Amino acid sequence: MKINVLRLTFQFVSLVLLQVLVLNKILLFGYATPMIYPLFILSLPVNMPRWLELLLAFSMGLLIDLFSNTGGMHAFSLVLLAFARPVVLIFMAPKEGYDPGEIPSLYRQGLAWFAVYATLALFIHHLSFYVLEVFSLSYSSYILGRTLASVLFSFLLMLLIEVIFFINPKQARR
Amino acid sequence: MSVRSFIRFIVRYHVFFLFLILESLSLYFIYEQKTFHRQKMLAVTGDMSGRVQEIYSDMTSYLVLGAVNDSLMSEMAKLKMIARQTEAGSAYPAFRNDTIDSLIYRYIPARVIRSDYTNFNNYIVINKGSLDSVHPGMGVTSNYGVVGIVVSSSPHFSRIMSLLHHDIQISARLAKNGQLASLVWEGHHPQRASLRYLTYPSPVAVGDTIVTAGSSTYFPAGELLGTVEKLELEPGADFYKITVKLSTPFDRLHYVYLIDNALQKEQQILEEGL
Repeated sequence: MKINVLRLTFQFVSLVLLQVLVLNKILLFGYATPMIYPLFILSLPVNMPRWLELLLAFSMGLLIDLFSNTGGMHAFSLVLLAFARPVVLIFMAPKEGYDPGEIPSLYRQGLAWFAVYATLALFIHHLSFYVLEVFSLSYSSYILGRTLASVLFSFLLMLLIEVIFFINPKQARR
Repeated sequence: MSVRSFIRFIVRYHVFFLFLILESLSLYFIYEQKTFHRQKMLAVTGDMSGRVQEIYSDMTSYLVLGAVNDSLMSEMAKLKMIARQTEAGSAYPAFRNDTIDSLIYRYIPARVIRSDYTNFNNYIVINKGSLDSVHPGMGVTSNYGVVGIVVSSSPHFSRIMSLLHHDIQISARLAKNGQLASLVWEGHHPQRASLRYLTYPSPVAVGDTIVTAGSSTYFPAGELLGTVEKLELEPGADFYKITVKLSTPFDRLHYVYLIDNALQKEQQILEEGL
């Protein structure tokens, strides 16, 4: 299998920087903080070796944790997402299956598919993140509120990034 | 089970085992970070991530020089006014300002290299540490008002539990009549806190100033906390339900003062005996 190392590195670095330098400082309506770095894991090729996926998720999460004083909360949530992604992918596989090395994206799979895929994954990630942050179930309305608001915000931003960077006829032809 | 079948078992489920290992590592890091304030010193990683954050703060600090200048100028003006009043006061020996207070509290200026305000519990990192005689338990203010309490320090950096933390509770006073109450943060908004245990009846009104009570060892009396924004009294209740607008803008915090209370230990030892 061919992995485009250059593209992955660029995505990894730019998403970490965007998250740490810009998005972590946003708090919309007292509830929503967007986290879009899971897009890196979401747009890995479908037949990526799973161990590599997990290790990439762990290193990315830990890097963000280091910059945002969160211990290992981002790492935990992202590893969980990376572990769950193949399950989500199988669950949502089209009739004819995926092409080998296919990259799930808004352009290839269409809005409806991508919306379900991304919100499901973001929900898993955000929920585990906020549960870890609060670490007490007596604030469950706070956890749920922040999760839902942030999932919505993150998803909209993710769509925007997909539209800007991934709808690229040249890339589609390759 | 033979060794070979055991190895085959591991290989077969290697993804799951890797998953478990990585998740427990993450949990361990979270645990380390959550129990931070119990540690006397930050580990090497604390100092390292402090340095990384300092580089970032160095890069961005130029963008806010204007705002920092403005806040320093307004503080200068305030201090000038106080100096005038003190001068005027010295004409009446009976009202001469007591200098004992100013000897008890020593202020150390520090630069904020990171300030969180979007989390459930928020911390601030500053660029002064144990080498600058910063130690856990020091109160932290700014020219806007109270900021928080130092919880841990490494040689060059310290970590402050900000007012935006669920474990913090500040003894407060209504500036108008000195009535005691208690300030806590209940989450959500980085600019709103709740004032508890202000007893009925009270002349409290919207817009009133809330200051520190000075009964704890962290802050001298009269440091600004905020102003009353919303006021409710349920019929028959003993206490008001008050929302306070905090005076410190945690999203625009650049410089803070650490308060070294020379009598802190003495008071704490005495109070422990109570």
